[in-house]
Amino acid sequence: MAREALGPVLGARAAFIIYFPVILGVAWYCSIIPTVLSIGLSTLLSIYYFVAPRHSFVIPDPGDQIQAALFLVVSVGIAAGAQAARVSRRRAQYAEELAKRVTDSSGDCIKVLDLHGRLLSMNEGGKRIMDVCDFEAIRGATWIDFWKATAPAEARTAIETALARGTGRFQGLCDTMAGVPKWWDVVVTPILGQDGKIEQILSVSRDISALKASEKVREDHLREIAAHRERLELALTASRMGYWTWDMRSGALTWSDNLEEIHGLPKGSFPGTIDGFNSLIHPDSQSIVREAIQQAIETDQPYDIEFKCVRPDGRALWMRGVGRVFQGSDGKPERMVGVGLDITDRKIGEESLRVYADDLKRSNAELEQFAYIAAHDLQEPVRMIISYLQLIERNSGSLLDAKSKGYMDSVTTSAIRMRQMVTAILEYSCIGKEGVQPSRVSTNTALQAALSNLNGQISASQASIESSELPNVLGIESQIVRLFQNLISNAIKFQPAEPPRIKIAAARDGDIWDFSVEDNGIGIDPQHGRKLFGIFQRLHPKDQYPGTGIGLSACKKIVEQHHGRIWFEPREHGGTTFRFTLSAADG
Amino acid sequence: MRPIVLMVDDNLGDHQLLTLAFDEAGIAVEVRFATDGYEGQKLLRAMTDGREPLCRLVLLDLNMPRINGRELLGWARTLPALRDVPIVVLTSSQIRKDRDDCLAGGATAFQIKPFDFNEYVTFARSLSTFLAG
Repeated sequence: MAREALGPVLGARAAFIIYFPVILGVAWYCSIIPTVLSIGLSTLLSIYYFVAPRHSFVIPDPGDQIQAALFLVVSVGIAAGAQAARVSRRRAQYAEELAKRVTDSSGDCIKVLDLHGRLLSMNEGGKRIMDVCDFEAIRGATWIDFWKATAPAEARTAIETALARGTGRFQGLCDTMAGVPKWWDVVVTPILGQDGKIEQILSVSRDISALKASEKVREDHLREIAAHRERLELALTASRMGYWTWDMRSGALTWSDNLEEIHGLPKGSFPGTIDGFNSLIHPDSQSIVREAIQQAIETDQPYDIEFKCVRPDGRALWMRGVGRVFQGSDGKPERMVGVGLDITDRKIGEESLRVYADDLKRSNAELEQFAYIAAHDLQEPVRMIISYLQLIERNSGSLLDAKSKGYMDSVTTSAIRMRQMVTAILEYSCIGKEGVQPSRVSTNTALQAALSNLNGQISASQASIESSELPNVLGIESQIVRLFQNLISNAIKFQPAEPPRIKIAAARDGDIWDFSVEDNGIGIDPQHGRKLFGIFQRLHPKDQYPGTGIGLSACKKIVEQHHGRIWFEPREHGGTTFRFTLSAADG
Repeated sequence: MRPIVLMVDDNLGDHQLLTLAFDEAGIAVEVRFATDGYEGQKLLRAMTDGREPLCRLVLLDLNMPRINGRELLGWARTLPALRDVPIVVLTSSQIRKDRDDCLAGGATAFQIKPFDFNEYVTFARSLSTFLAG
């Protein structure tokens, strides 16, 4: 029917030309298999409907056979052409999509500008990092304007460079559309057309905020470290201290600047070697330093030494050195680090203090020796004076008148008093010269010895003496006997009327024993406290209470020789308590 | 013949006091004096040589010029002739070490010098045991 309808237009043989557009359509839009099917089907249908005998696939006529073959060739030609066009079209499409995907996936902001610098497009990634919600709002905007606050000149130069076929590049700060400031690394290049002319401009901006932030952190750190270092240097300089590092592999010895200053060397003149350091050490201290370093290396322990140095200007320099060894990853000593501290002032102070203490000790010893010799040598003339006075009295006493007898008595009394004082001084200066080592002493026994020495005084005064059980102490027995003896004798002596009552006790206080000798005597005005233990100090006229005034100073000297303390306290109802401490002898 | 007592002492007052004390105590002795250790050594050598009669007792001071009492004591104790002669150290030293050293060094006794004449007399009496016989 179709053939009949088209017959007048196309002629009987040409009617199947209508299949060509169909094949073309199929080949244009579909792949190769539908195309081949459509060619086959068209051929069969043409033969079936249009070639005589109709409604049959047989072509008896040779002319018809040629026609059919021609149809087939033309169909294949059309299909091949359409398929080739299709493939190249698909390829171009794919390339374009790929390019878009690539740019869209890029983390950079990729923009295309026209030659006037107006914004034409932006990749998806760029929209994300620039916080662009609606690109249409900024399409056509002038790109340089984005930079006008922060880097207008750089942006303009970059565009100009691109237009001159170069690559413009700069870093700048630009807010995103949401107002977040970001640092960008911007590269601007020309986009060339097929003809090699500049068609558009490409601007690629990379967000370098994180990098900038870490750079800033690093810069802040460096600044902080520099500030710390400055403060440290200042503190070190102020305390006359410097630090050093000795690289034990290379042998390089690095000094902080102030070490040179401390050693009196011109800045930069220290050679930076261990030999250079050794040459600054005084010969007396060479071995100390050498051994300290040796030991630090061997034992891996820090050292802390004091050593003497030689300064070029000849001034004394004492250093304290503290250092230690640090091992490398192989466990071998790698470097040594330490500080040097100028302790000259302290050393000079210590030295002068030592000299002063020695001087004081010597002068005290000399004074004591002088007192001893003077007293010792005075004994002889005093003995002679007393003895010959007695002889005069004996031989010529009867010849003297009463007045002269009185004079004789005065001379004799004075001479006897002089002898007492000389004896007391000798005894005092002999304390501590016994050459006896301290040992364990029973103070019970010492007290009994003292009481037996005072037997006459005790019975004459009818004194009652009580004592608790007394401990063992570390000391020199003869001195402790003397200590009790002097204190008890004093207690008996300074007693107005009633019989003396004396109590002796001891209480433990840590490593020491706290002794007390309590009396009911005349008491002591506390304002005399300081004078009381001084040598030859008397608080009362000697006709009232006889004595040399040396008893309590001897007590003080004895207690101090025993590294103890002695003091007194007034008792509430009259009388005095003397207290002293001695070291306990345990075990 | 009265026994001889030799006093070696640089203090001339002691020479006189000793003589007077023996008199007072009623002890008949002949007292001979040497004014220091050197003189004492000379005299003792003469006595042991038989040039002088031997003394019955030596009273020896410690602190003297030239040869001191300690040195003289040491020397005297090496002489066999003086083996039986008592040597009493008579000194004003109250140092215990002096006492111990002297007794260890051969002194018969150690006596602190009397403080006055009365004590001297007492001391002289105490010597009579050495002089008897």
